[in-house]
Amino acid sequence: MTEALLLLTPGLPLLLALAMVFPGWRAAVVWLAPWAVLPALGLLVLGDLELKLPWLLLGSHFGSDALSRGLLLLSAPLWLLASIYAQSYLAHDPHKHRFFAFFLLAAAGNLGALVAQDAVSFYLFFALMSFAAYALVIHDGRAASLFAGRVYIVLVLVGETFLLGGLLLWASLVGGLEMARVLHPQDWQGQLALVLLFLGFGVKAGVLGLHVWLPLAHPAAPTPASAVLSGAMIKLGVLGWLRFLPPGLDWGPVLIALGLTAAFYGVAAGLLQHNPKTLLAYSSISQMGLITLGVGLGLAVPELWPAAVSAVLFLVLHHGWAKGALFLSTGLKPGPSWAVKALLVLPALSLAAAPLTSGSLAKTQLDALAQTTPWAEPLGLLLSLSSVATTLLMVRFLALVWPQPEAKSARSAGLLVGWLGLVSGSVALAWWPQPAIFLAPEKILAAAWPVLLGTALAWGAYRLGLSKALRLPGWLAPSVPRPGQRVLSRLENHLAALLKATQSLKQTGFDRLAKPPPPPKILPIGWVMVGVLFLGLLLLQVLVLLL
Amino acid sequence: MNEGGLVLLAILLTSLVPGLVIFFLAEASVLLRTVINLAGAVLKLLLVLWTMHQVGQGVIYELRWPFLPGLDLVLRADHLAVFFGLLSAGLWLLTTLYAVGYLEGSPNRSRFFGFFSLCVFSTTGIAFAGNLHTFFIFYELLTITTYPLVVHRGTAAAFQAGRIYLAYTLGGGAVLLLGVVWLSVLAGPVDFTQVGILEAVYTQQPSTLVLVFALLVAGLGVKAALFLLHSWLPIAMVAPAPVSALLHAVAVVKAGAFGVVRVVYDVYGVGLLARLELDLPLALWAAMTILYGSLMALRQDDLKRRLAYSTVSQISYIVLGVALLGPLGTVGGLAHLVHQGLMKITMFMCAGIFSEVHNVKKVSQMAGMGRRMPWTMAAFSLTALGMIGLPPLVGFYSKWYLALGALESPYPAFALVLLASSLLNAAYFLPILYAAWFVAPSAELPRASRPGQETSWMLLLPPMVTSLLVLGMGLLAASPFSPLVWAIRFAQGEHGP
Repeated sequence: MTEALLLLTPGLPLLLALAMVFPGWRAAVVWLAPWAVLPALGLLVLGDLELKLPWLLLGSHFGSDALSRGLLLLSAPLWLLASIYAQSYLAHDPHKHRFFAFFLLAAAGNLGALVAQDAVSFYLFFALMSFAAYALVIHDGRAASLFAGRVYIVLVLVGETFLLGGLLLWASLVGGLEMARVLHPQDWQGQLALVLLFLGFGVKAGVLGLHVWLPLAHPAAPTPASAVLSGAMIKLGVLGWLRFLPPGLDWGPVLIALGLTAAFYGVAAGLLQHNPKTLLAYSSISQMGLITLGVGLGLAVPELWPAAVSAVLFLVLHHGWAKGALFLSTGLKPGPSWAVKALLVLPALSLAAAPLTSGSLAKTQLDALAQTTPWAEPLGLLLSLSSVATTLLMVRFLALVWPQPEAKSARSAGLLVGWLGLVSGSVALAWWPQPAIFLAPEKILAAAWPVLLGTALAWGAYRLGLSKALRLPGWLAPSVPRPGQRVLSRLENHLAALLKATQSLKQTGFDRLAKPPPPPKILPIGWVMVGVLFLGLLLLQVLVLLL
Repeated sequence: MNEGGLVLLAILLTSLVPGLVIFFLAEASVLLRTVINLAGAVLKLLLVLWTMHQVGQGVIYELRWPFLPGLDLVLRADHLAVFFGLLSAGLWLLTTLYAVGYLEGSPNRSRFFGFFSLCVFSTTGIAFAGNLHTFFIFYELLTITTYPLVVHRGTAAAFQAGRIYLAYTLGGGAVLLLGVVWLSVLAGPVDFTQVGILEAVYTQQPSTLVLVFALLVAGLGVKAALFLLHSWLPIAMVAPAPVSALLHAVAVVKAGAFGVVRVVYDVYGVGLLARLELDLPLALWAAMTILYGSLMALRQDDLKRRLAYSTVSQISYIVLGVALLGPLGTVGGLAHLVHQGLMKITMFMCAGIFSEVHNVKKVSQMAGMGRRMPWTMAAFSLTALGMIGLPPLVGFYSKWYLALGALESPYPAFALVLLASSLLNAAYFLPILYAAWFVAPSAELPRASRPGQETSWMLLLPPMVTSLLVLGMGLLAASPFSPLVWAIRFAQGEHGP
């Protein structure tokens, strides 16, 4: 009977979402929404389960294996806590019911994809989540959100097309739909299938070049939706990679390079942001770069694939919990008590991989993997440098959200429960599976210096008077430049040209969507200097390595 | 005459007799007319279901009537026939209900329903025709019986559209006749059971066979709205909504596509076509139509015209699947015969409701429609997502099998056409859904007073049923009731398991 849990995992949120059709039930559905993940939580305490329904779709196969449970450990609690948070956050929103309907649909898609073991079910849930999330992105209906939604939906469609093409080729080559089948590419068709799958999932995972929707969609969506978007939904792209890419594929170096570039690009772009949620979105691009790096390492050293999978999984968990907590903190407007400040700092420290945090555990695992490759030394250094970079970014983030003395604490139980839950989860992750405190002392030291250096850099920038920025009121003034926007506008131009060619733009309803806000001219000088200093340091390190 | 033959005859008579009777009914006898119509439709559906059950058991009904010396009229209920027959019988029932609600209080209803029934009579004849001559007779009959429906409104625009419709379809019919006659001269009466009969001709005059194939496909291609032969279809949109729905989903357009299916599988045969190297030209033609139709649909602001160009594109999915000559392509093409019918009939019925209730005929007027008519819009949205090809809706399976068929064929690039077409489908359907659900309605139009009361139940029920079928048949795609499984069975019979 426990197998029914597999069906209920996507089924319960789906049923609740459908119940929204009846006006009389809507209030009850909102009230029940957090508990839609109960079946998913149930899967966590059970062993491997399997359920085959040959009459459903093209023969459905659901199952929970180690990978499913690993991701459920992040996704199920995150959806639960974000729902509790959303109940308070949207308590007075006129479109509250619409939000929860799509929130539950997205949850159904996300959780369902985790337990799907055949390609068609997986694609179904993946698409359900992607399309439902569109409604979350444009929820508040502001011009910027509509623009973000438009970019989001275009990239979703592009991603879905890659994915469908990849899955079709994959299915015709492996001769079946079971995801347990592995495609070892023999010829260009196999390679093409895997490239398409990589790109299809890459749109979701925000891999460099396909990441443009993230910095727009995250600040546009209501805060609890941003948390699940960045914490849980984009992780589905990683799951796709882990499920479909065969160990021993010779793309290791490409993925490593792509990941590293994203890791530093995300920080550089993030440092220039004024909206804390945009900053966090860029941070996600950066952290997803590290995850890409991890997958690349696993591919590069096939015999370490299982270790790489578990390292990537831990990185995913660590990032999901910490990033979820950080996102929720942007909606709090907390009072200036020391406890609140400490709780703000904790997940930021974790993301920066400070000692004794889950971040240091994740970095240690990644580093251990890197040491087995031919590029051990530069990779180790670059990983530490990425911690320096993330520290800078987190200092910047904290400065943006730091409680003002005069701020009135707007305490609402739901907001606090959601946020505190994620913070404590993020902290607890440092004690599982191996307590971070028991790491060898030299590893703790190795984790310490990048954070110290990063903090020192930020402090230096402040002391040099490079930035009035570190004091809050100064840099709320200029609005947000978006480095991603240039890439974006090119993409938009192509699309607009295509649409214009068919003369349909006027009539399609797209024209009601507003133009993007114009990119402002002013850059915050202080942070440019920090960036320059940082890049200089990076250059120096590379020179040292080369000599 | 055997028992099976009687059943087949009864299937035809269940729409012929009501059609003839209705002509003589007074305009005011609404109730009697409706009862006759619905009784005929229900009876026909039951008979087709029974025949389908028999085919499942391996019993093939046949009715043969010597018409001229050496020329028999044959009705035969094989796999393909019941497949198409069930589609037309099922959708006829729903469309009749819809038409009764749609035309409530309008003039000339006896004429309308009379021809409506005759139109379905011809379509059923096409479905169960057992040789090329019988097929041709019903095919021409369909042209003639649909003309009064297209011009039903009696406006100048309607007559103009009717003229164009007749010019195209009669021209196509003439070309088809030439092909049929030529083929009979070469090989005698072509029964759909004697696939090997053209082999002898092939050894002597292969190039003549190519020419005859071109004639047949060009003749059928007019109704199937293949590229360059499609212009009548968007113009015929002046017809009342139930006519458009039936035209696009089952009757005219499908008759053309079904004819191509028959010619490929039951006249020439897959093997012969491959040897004549006719698969690639046909597939290219279909691919071009798919892309052209989608691009044109993107440009239309008139909702029905957008749907019409979408039909141009989607019908060629069927032709493409058949042209790929492989088992998976066959499955995709045949399944799409039913899938497209269900989806497109829903969309046209919904478009009819929008225009009847709120006088909304353009895509640009769709803002807030989701709040004004939630049920109608839900049905429309579900099928639009199905057209884009999202699982678990039926459109996904068509696309999945068609693309797999392309990948297993010598020309895998056709899979790209399908992917591109889905993207274009998204580009012309998603903005409609966005405007309907996320944009606030303009103030002047009223909202539905109560849920489910947005329009009369006779208009609302049929699209609700078909959209639920779009969802249900997709969810249960692997179960024995789904058209997909029937298509797979046919493909196994045709290509071997």
